[in-house]
Amino acid sequence: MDNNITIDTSRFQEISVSYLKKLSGDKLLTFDVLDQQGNTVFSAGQALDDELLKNKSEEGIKFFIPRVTESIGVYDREIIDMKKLKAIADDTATMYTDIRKNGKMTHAQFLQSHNHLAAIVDSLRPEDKTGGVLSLLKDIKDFDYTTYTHSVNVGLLAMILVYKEMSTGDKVKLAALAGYLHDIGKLRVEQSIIQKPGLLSQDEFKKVLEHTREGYRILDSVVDSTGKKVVPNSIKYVALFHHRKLQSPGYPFRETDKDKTLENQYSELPDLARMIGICDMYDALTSATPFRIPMGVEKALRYILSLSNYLYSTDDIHRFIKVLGLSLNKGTPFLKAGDFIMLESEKISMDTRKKVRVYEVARIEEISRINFMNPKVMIFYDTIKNKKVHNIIVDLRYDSNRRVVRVFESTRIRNMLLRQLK
Amino acid sequence: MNPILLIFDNDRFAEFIRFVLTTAGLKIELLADPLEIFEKIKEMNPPLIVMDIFLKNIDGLYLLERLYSVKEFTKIPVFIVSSRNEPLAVFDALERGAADYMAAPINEDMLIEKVNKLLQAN
Repeated sequence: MDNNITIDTSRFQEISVSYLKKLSGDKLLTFDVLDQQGNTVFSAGQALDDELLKNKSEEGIKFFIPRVTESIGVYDREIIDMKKLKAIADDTATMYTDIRKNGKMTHAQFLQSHNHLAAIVDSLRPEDKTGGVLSLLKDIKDFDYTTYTHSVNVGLLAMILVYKEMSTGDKVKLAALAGYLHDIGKLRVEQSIIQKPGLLSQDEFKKVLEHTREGYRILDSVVDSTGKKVVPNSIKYVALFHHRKLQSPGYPFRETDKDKTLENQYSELPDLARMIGICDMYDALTSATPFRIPMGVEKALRYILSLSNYLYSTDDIHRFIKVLGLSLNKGTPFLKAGDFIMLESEKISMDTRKKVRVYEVARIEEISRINFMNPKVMIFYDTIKNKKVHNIIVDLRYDSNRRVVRVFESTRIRNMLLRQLK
Repeated sequence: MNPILLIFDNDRFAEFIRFVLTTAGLKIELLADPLEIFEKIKEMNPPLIVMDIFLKNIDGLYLLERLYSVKEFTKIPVFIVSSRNEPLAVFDALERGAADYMAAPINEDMLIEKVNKLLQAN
């Protein structure tokens, strides 16, 4: 076996055998694993075979996986000081250990968090803000995945999201801080449960869910020397509500929600909490944990789009994608011509005079880089009438009613749809 | 043949499906608490799972995702019989690996036909 590393290490990162061992057993790989010459050892979709892994590692093979974050960062990074970033991550780790031990956060620690995030916001020149910050995400992910790197990531994502929507400095700082502190309640949940691979028991699941309420309690009890509460409500609400979902039972439920529809409950949540929920999801999907290989950026964005009107509202998902979709994916649209998609539109029902949602299946015919969420499509299937319709070409740039809500990934469904087209 | 596993937590709907399938001469076992699904599958090794995606305590799509993330379970076909007719959910379930789909209102003959077809294919 040739032990020279010829694989492009800027695109692939080495991964230890012990890390891979954690993935073996009943999980399926979501990524190709390659050797040092770039040959595929295990391919995506396959389960890791313990025996084979052992044999290969005895042969002296080193294992590599694609650097997931390779496409993050649109511009070259020169303005960010890596030392400063590492210092922040280190400080966060220390702070978290402290909070975990004492069960509460002090005023000084809150101020410190605030200053850290404000330092990032302030240290960037306006023209660098997006690109620079996005490349920060990559750097942080290269450390390793823990609650604190996740916190910093979500803080940064929330910050760019709000910044790109032309908000003022204070709002940007608030969003960054809210994202940074959203998971603080996890420090009161047993570490063994949070890091447990595989399925959680019902009791463990309940304990993990508690982290939203715990987060609220921690932040609510931060007081200054005069005993005044210092954490703004919007930040506390993000900690409390960032796991609330649209159609799926999220948590926690409020007493006042009892008689409302899921949709109304969701739309009444604070804006920042809903958006940080999506940032949280994005970062979780694209980060490696000890028991999951991360999704690539493009795949993660397609997946997030497909959560429209299921876990999040179509409005929120589109907002996230329109602001961050291009920059996260290196300036390339994650939808392509030839993709099968589902369109959602609203119309007034003739019978009931109420608003109903209509879903149509279409194929993307033409797509432009800037307006990639409004491609030219061919609609061929109506899911309400459940039948094929005459192929209709629609340019979504001129049709604001129809919006893309799903993109079909499975080959089985794509083949099924292709048959419909013939 | 091992019994088919039914996962429904809506009593009336569950009773209806159970009635239709047992009259067709199929052996079934009902699981009312979806959270016990993994233990149950290991215990009874069903040839087919028939489930609702609009469950009360857990999101059915999430359950489907978790189920198929386990290697040994990927071979068991899942037939979605949904208590609500929502087109997005149909495609989401198929996208996550469901073998077939039917939404309320349920046609009994069609249900039996589809279940038998899936059993034969397996």
